[in-house]
Amino acid sequence: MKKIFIAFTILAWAALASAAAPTGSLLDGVKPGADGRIDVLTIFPHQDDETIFVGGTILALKQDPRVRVHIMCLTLGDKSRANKILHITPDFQGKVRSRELRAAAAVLGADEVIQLDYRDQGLPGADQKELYAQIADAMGKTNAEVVITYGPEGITGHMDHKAGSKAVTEVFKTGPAQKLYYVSMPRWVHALAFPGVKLPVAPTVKVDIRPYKELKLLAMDEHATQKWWAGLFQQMTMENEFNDEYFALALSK
Amino acid sequence: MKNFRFAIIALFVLAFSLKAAAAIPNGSLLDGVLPGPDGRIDVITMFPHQDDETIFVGGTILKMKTEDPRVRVHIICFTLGELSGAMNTLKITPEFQGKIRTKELEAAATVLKADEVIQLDYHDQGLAKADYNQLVQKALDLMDKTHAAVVITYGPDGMSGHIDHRTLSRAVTDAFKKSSAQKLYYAALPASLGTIYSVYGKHGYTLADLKVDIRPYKKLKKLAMYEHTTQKFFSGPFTSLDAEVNRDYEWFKLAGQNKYIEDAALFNTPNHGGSK
Repeated sequence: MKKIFIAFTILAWAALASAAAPTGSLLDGVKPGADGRIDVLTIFPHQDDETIFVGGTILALKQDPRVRVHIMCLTLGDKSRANKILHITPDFQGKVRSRELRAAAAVLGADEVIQLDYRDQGLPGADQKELYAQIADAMGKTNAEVVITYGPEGITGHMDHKAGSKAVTEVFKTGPAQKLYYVSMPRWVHALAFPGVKLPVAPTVKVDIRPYKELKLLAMDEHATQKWWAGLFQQMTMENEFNDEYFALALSK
Repeated sequence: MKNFRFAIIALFVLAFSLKAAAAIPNGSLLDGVLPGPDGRIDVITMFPHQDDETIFVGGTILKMKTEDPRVRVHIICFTLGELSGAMNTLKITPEFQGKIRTKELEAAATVLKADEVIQLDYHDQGLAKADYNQLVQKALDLMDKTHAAVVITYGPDGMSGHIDHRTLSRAVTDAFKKSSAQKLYYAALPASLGTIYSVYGKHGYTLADLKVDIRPYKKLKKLAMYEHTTQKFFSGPFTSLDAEVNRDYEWFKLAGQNKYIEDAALFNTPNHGGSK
């Protein structure tokens, strides 16, 4: 009896927590650019971040003919564990992962891939001025109305995630883009998955991705080195079980 | 008694297949191939679909690229591969599938360390309907453009019996005879595997006369296969392709040799040999 009660409480709490973020769209309140198009720019440090956290949302957004999606990847992703498992050099891994990103981007229907060549785990130590300039350049060239990146905690706490988040947030403040979203999760999911990291902001919007789950899975599988040779299989499989993707509106102009 | 008879038959079959497999000598596709004027050896694969190159030549490409710095590999894919069964699983349009598969091929080619991917835009299952002479001319132009010394394609059986495979085999063979390339290889099989394939493909099989030991490169070949994600995971429950990418060897048949004659090269008139 006691067990059932506890289970029920957890379930109710979980349902409540996930219900806290209303279902919506990242385009709510966004005004299209002069050409009538809405440009969405995702900025992440690694190939696969965009698919794991925004894959379904990109597929949903692309249903709107006004939307153009630009996927920006800051590092070469050359330090994943796949190096050791496949006995390949970091340089070679970087080359392969950039190609995998292009295949995933094709699946997601993205319009453009912008691949920079920072070293994996190298964002905190990189020349910040140059990094900021390159991000500003991308926001300018794509005429981004909506920008998506990690929050300050970086979800997993990875140093590149955190450094990327800071740079994108600072650059966003100075540009004309209208909305900055951080990828997020219900607090209880995040607490279970990454117990050592504190999620500073709760999600403010969730996107229903159920119609796009199969293509999101395909996009995930396109990151073959990561899915099968980096010890991430269970994690990446689990991430595909969710019916929603969560975001926190960080800044709005 | 019945069991005994079965055991005898099984033993015969096993011994026969072992003998057949052992009879094919180990070797390299580069044996006897002369480099071009720039000291490089250009190898081109000509297949109709994204993934053909990985399944049948993937380990060999990796081996050549890793062990011989003179080698340049050009992967030529003739169709957009848009009619694979994966489109039904994924509920996507042929056009969209074609876009994805061409990107998958580039990822696989990167894994195989190939130098170039040339993607043509014939339609899937459309090679037999295309103008044959133009197809031959196209293949010949590509052999010239890449300065191909070695050309690899399917045998006349097309391995799986696919109409695109069989048509392209014929066109590439005809183009090879007019080209200045030195050797033409067909992706082939040992008798043990060939008998299985020919039941499935209904057009017989090409018996190998050369096998390439790809054991050190199996892991990367497997990765290259997985880069063809739509084909590996979404093209139906019975096409796992696991067996194909886990073999220790890849098999070939030397299908044609154009004798390289110094004088002919000097006067820029390639020899039209195509000898057996």
